[in-house]
Amino acid sequence: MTSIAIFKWAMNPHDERVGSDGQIKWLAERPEVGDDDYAAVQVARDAAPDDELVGLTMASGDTAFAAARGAERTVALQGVDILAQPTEVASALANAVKAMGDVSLVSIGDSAWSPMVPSLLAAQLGWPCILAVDAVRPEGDTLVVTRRFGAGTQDVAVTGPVVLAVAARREEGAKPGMRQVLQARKRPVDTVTASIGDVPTLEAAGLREPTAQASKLFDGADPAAAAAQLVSALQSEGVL
Amino acid sequence: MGNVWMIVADTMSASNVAGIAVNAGAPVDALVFGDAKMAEDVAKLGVATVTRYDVEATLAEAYAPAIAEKAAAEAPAAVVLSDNATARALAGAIAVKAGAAVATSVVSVNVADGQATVEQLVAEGEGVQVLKASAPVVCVIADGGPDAEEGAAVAVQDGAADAADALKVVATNAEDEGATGLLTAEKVVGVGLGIGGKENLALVNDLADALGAAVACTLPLCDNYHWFEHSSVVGTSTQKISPRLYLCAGSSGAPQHMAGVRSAKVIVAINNDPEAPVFRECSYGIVGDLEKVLPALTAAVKGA
Ligand SMILES: Cc1cc2nc3c(=O)[nH]c(=O)nc-3n(C[C@H](O)[C@H](O)[C@H](O)COP(=O)(O)OP(=O)(O)OC[C@H]3O[C@@H](n4cnc5c(N)ncnc54)[C@H](O)[C@@H]3O)c2cc1C
Repeated sequence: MTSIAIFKWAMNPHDERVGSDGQIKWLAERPEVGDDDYAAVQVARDAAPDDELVGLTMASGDTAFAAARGAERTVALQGVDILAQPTEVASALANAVKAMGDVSLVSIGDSAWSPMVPSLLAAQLGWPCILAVDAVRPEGDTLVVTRRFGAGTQDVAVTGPVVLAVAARREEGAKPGMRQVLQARKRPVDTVTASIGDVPTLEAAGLREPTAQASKLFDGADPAAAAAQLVSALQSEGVL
Repeated sequence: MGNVWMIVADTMSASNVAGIAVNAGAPVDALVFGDAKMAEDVAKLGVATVTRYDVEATLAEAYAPAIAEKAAAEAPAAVVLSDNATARALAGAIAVKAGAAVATSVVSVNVADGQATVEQLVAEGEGVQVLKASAPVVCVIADGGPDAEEGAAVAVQDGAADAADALKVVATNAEDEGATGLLTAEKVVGVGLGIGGKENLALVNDLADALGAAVACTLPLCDNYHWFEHSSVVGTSTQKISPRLYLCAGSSGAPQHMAGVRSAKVIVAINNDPEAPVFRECSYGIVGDLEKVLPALTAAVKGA
């Protein structure tokens, strides 16, 4: 059986701009490493330590991220437009997973950058899905998944194939060293053209300015004056 | 046909979700995955119907295939939800079964002739993109939108749906939600690395006392300095809060932190760097050294 860890699949919204022509522009051309990607690889490894672990990415350039964290090989999907909608990204990923055959688990970052892709991916595969995952442990034929639940956590037992969307709590502790990265770059990478099904999308029908007012800033060079201005503003907002 | 669905699986976001759903111009059917109190609260938010699915014995996610079938049969024009993990798990199944497109960071939905037009924040709030749907559309709302107005309650119906048996709850480890009071606080003072030294925390506590506010922190003050418990951290790694006032001192406004506070009604930032990203996300700010600004503010609040 194979476990798949998906990485570098979402565009970083920090790179999105409204151009002077009123069109959306992206400063980056490809998805970037997300906060949760390292944790997604970790969870795929912990879920099935004896299975083959394959990385799946939509990045070009450095595709060794999962290999440096234990993946035996990587599949790099090409040809997904940077403006692709969540349904299209999920379709490209689902078709790539289906093409790999005997897959028991897909782990993906529960990315704040693109919050609907993991559950769309699961539904396109016809698999259950658990989001906001912290960790997993295999127990016989069952996988016990710990996910965030309110202010605490919940353990969920899963049987059969599943999509897990993993939410990292902090930055990666021990990043792979230069040696691991160099070795990872020697592992096989299959570059595959993405296949996107006939999925529903929305039609862009214009861009407008937001209605929210700009922030009101007071100069703290005179702290007492700034504090008085702020207090009066908060009183008129009715929050003091 | 052509109704709007709203999916609710947490208390905090329900009013924001309803704020967008009930203004869409079509009757709203609310599907609530939670306890009776959650459903009763939603029933007051201007919706046409409320159906509650019991998640005491069954994991909400296990209902996904059945709820997706229901969506395919009833064909709502739009399905509105927050980014709550359970709501998103259900919405993915709905979108695929009902043939829906998907939009995120949504600030408004308008249904006319059974079809939806959606407005979505883009470029970190610099623009609003208008999107037209020719099929149903699943909309994850942006945090911080208007609350729905409360009115007379409709009756809550009990929902019945088959649950997939691949998922079972084995343990729930609830953290004491009341521990820091952050989830229910009306006012919260947040503190970040700009506080400098531990002795300066007194400046934050004094302001919090004057305001009657709870105190929160950014992740490094817990992880790296251990000045706070993890339950005081606000952001993607822990919790979202929705006070009326969030006043944060000495935080740059990293996206992982701001994700936890965008539902606050008014955000105030104090930072000595006029270029700090937090100033792009606040309603009010003071550009200055917090060692001077915090005592001045405490005095001004006491005098108000
Ligand atoms: C997976 C992951 C999850 C994360 N989850 C969270 C989370 O849940 N919550 C969270 O908070 N972070 C989280 N982070 C960390 C986050 O990315 C930031 O690193 C963190 O929020 C920064 O904290 P800060 O604003 O206190 O510090 P900094 O970014 O260092 O900002 C300090 C600010 O203080 C200002 N300053 C300095 N001196 C003064 C002074 N004298 N007066 C006024 N201002 C001053 C500086 O100008 C600066 O803007 C997460 C990161 C990752 C990778």
